[in-house]
Amino acid sequence: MNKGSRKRSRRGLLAILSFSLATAGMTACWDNRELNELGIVSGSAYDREDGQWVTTYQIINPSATSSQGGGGGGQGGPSPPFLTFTERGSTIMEAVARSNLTSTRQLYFAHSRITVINEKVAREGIAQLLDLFLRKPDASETVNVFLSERRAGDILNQLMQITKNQGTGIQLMIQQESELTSYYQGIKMFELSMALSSESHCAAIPEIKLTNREIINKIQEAESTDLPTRIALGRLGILKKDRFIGWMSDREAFGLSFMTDKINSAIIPFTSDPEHNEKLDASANLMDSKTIVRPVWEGDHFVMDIDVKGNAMLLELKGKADLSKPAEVSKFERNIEQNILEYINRSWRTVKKLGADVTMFAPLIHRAFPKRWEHIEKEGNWDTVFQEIEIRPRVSISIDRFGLSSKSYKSVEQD
Amino acid sequence: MIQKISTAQAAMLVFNAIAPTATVVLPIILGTYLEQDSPIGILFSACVGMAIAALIGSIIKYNQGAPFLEWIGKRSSRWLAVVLGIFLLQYYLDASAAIMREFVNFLKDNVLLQTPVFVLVGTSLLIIIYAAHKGIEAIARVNSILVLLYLLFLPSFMFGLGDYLNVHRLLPMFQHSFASVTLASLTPVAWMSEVSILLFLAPYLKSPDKARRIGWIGLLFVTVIMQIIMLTTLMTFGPEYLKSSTYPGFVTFDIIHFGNFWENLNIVFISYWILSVYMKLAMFLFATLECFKQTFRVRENGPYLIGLALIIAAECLFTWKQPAKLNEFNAQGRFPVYMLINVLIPLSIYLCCLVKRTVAKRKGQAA
Repeated sequence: MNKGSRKRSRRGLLAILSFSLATAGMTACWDNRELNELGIVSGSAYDREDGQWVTTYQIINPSATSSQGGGGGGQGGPSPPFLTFTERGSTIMEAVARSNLTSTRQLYFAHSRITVINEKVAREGIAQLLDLFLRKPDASETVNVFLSERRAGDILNQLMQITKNQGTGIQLMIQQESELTSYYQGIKMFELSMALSSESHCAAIPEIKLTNREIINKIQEAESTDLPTRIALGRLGILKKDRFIGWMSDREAFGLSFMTDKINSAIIPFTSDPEHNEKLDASANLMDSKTIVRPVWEGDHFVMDIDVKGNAMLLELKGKADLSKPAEVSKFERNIEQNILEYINRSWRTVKKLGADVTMFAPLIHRAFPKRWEHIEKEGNWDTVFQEIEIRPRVSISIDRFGLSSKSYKSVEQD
Repeated sequence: MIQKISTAQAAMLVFNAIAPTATVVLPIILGTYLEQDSPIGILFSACVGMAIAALIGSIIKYNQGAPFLEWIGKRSSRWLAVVLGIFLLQYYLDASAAIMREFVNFLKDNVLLQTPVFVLVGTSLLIIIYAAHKGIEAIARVNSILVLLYLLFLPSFMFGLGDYLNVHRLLPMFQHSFASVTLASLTPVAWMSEVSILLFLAPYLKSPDKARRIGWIGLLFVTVIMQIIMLTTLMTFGPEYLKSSTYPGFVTFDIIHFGNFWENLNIVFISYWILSVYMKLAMFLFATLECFKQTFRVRENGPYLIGLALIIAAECLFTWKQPAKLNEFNAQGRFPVYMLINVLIPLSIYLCCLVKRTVAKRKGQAA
C-alpha cells in the first residue's frame, strides 16, 4: 500500500469514527424518548370535583390517524382518532402522574393545542394552572384556552367531523372565527398570563360548548351527515385577577372587539331603511377596521375617545336601492355606523357592570398619563377610576365595494 | 507558524465572547429594574463598554500585540507578571466555570431534564478542548460562520414574532431614575468588560494596532443584538410578564411560528444558541490556556489544556452546584470582580505606561 492510499484510508476511518461519535451525541442521553412510547396530548381539560383536580387528556391515536378515511383501526374494527384519559389528584401533576397507572404511554404535552377549563375551576382561580403551564418545560404555553360551563372533560370526548384531530379542529375554529367573524379572539396561555399580569389584571376567554347534552364519542355515531351534538364556540368569559367573574354574549363581545381593535373581518347586519322598516334587512362585510383609543383627562374623570374607521363591502340588500347615487350609499354607511355604535355601547355597559377592565384601558392610561397612573396605583383605586370612565365612540365606515350589482334586486324588479 | 486572525474575525470573536450568555439572562436582569426603559440600560452599558474597549485597544496598540504577561514582565518585574498572571488565571477559570454552569443549568431546565450534569459538562468539555487544541484560528473560522448565520436566524426570528410585536408595550419611556439605570446596567457592563479577552488574543491578531476598532465593532454588534432581543421580548410580552419568566428570551423562541405548519421552532434557535456557547467556552478556555502559558512560561499545550479544563469542570460541578448561589454571585459579586480584572488592572497598567513614557520623554528632553 502506498503512502497516498494509506492516508486516504486513514481519513476514511476518521470520517466513520466522527460520524459514529456525532450520532452518539444525538441520542439525547438520559432524555431519549421513543415515539412509540409517547402519548401525544392534543388537548387537556381541567375540572374540580370533591376538592380534587379532575384532569382529562386527549391523546392522538396514531393507528386511527394514519389509516385511510379515518376510523379503520386494523383488525379490531374502527377506532377513534383520539383517546381520552381522566384522572383525579389533589394537585394537577398528581393527576397527570396517575395517568401512568392506566396508560401504556407517557403523556407528552409539547404538541397540545387546546386547554379547556371548567367554569367552576375558573371561579376558584386559575393561578395554579397558569403556574404549571409557565413552569413545566414541556407544557406548551401556546395552547388555546377555553372555558366550559359543563364538565370540561366532556368537550374532549366529543368527536368532530372533517377534522379528525379534535384539538387541531378547535384551534382552527377559533382562528377562523377571529379572522372571519371577529366576535372575539382566541387566547393562548401566555397571552392569558400577560393579560392577567398587565395593569388591568383582566382577561377574556372564549367559551367552548356542546350544542346538546348527549356526547358523540363513538365512531358509528359520528358517521351521520348532521351530528345531533356538535362542538361550538359560545360566549366570552371574563376573568379578573385570575378568577372568572361573568360572561359576555357574542354580541357584547363583538363590541369589545371594536373597542380593543381586534376586528379582522366581520359581517355587520343593518337596516337599509330605518324610517320605514326597523328589521335588519341588509349586511355588509367589514373588510378592514382600525380602532384608535385615546384617553383624555376631563378634570375629574377619564374619557376614552374611541375612533373606529373601516371599509366595507355591501353583500346583501332586501329593499330598494340605487347604489350609483352617493346619497343612498351614504345612508347605508350611517346605518352601519349606528349599528357598530350600538355594539360598542352595549358592550361597554356590560363591561362596567362586571367591573372588569377587559377593554385594556389601564395600560392606555398608564402610557398616556404615567404620573396620574402612579397616583392611581399608589391609591389602589383603579376599580373606582374605571367605573367613572366615560367613553366617546366615533365610527366612520366607508362602503367601497358593492359586489356585482349596482342596484338592489328589488329595484331591478320594480323597474 | 503562529496562527493569525483578521480584524473581522477578531471582532466576531469579541461578539461571541459576550452575546451568548447575555441573550439568556439580559431581559430578566434589565427588565426587573428598568421594565420598558431597559433599552436605555443597554445603551448606557454600551457606552461604558466602548470606553473599556478603547482602553484595551490602547494597551494592545502600545505593546504592539505582544503576549500580555510577558510584556508586563519585561516592562516591570517578572514576579509582578506572575502575580498578575495568577489573578487573571483565577478569573478566567472562574468565568469559564460560571459560563459552563449557566449553560448546563439552562440545558437541565429546558432541554435535557433527566441527563446528569456531569454528562453535560463532560460532553461540553470534550468539544471545547478539541476546539481550543485546534487553536484560535480554527475557533475564529467556525465562529465567523456562526456569526454569519445571524443573517438567517435574525430575520426568521423577527418575522416569526411578527404577529405578537406591539410597539406600544415600550411606553411610557423614561420612567426610571438614573440610579435605577446605573444599577440595572451593572451586569451588562460586566459582560461588556469581557472585551478584555483581546489582551490574550492580541499576539494572534494580524493587525494589533486595530485592536481598538476590533473591540468597538464587536461591542457595537453585541449592542445591536442585545437591543433586538430586549425590544422584541418587551414588545411581545410587555414589562410585567417579562419579570416572571426565568428565560424570557427563550420563551419568545417558543412562540415563533410561520402559519400553522412551522411551529415549535424553539429547538432550532436553542441549537444555534448552544453552538454559540461552545464558541464562547472554547474562546475562554483558549484565553485561560494562554494566561497559564504566559504566567508560567510554558510552551506545550496538551497536558495543561486538559488539566485546566478539568479544573473548570470541577468548579462548575461543585462550586456552582446551587443555582441560587450562582444567581447571587451574578447579581452582586460579578461586577466588582469583572471591573477589577477587566478595567482597573488594565487601566493601572496603561496609566503606568503613560507616566513612564512621559518621564522618559522629559528625561530625553533634559538630556
